[in-house]
Amino acid sequence: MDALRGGPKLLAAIGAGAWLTMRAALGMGRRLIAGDALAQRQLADGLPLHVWRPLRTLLPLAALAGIIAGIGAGRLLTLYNAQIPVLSGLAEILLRDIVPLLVGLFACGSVSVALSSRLGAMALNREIDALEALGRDPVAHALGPALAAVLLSAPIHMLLGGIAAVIGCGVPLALIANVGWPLWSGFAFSHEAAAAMLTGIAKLLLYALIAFGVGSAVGAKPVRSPADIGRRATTAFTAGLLGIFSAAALWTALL
Amino acid sequence: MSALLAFEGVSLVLGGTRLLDQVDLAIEAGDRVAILADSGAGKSWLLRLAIGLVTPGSGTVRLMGVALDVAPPDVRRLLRARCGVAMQGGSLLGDLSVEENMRLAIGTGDWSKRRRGERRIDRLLLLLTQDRALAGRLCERVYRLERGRLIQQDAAVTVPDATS
Repeated sequence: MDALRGGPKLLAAIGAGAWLTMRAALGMGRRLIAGDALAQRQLADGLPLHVWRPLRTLLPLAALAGIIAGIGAGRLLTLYNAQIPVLSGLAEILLRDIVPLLVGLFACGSVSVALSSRLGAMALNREIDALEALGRDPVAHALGPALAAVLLSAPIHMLLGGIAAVIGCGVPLALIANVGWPLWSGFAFSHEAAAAMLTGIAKLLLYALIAFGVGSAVGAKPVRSPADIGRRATTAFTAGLLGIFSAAALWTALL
Repeated sequence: MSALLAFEGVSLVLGGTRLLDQVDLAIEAGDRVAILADSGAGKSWLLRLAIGLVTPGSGTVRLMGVALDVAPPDVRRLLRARCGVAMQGGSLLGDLSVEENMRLAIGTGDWSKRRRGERRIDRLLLLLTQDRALAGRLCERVYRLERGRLIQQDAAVTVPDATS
């Protein structure tokens, strides 16, 4: 892949990420069906790492994003008394666009960096070769549990992040524009908001897969020294950001 | 009957250096073969070729009658799972416990074989907890654990690379 430049290199990287993601999914499925106790233990380890631990940072971030959006909407409401369009639009954009992008960025920072670093360290410690020598598929072993945990974490993070953002948004709305919680929650938990939340979950799954694919494709590149691991992590983060923002722009433009 | 492990005119070039040149080797079942050579002569690369971790520049390596260079990756892994391999410099997984490193060798194939492997590990761990002196001796060097992992496998071929 190093010999390629520009468009072909990008296509090769996307192909590598997609191929590794598919192999990880199939390999993990096979391991779980075969009753591999190690796979179950890896999954049990991966769940707190990818699902619960990020919530400590993610929930305050989502609440802060909600507060920022709420301040903007509150100021707008003091100028124009247009509660219905502003509040319904706010709930929709919060759950359809802002929270998925925020959680996606967080996934990019944690998943892609963690994966590329882990794969680099495994290659440097010859653990990939060790797995191959034992007849184990290194992709299924190293990436499979992480993929399962990441896919499981996306709807949970979106749901809890969305609730935190809605609550965060409600505070400035009440303080600045005198919009009470019953009125705001009527918009934030409406059918339209639920549809926006489902779209947000679908978006977040796509962002999480992009972060996973980027992290695994960058991490799978040969590592010659420990310093390479840090460089790969930075590359994975920036490439992941670019991928997620491109996907978000495309989704918004096309759908 | 074909050899368990056969090299047929195998050559390997690395970084412009011809490390192995037209190597022919045939190892039958039950044979015990030691390969002695100077450091850097390519013993470890021979091992990697023998289990299909590296593809030769020319020639064919046959493991249990299967030509490794044309075999799909899954077939190569199945064949490797039937070999006991200990790599030079250690081949343990750092994020797994001693027990889990041993359980890695059992694989996910045949249920009865897996149960047999699990019973062996349980016996070995029980022995280690009962006899602390033996545990101390066993933990003395990392390669001892790798040997422990080797004995969990009903290996058709055992390939330790400078581990003793």
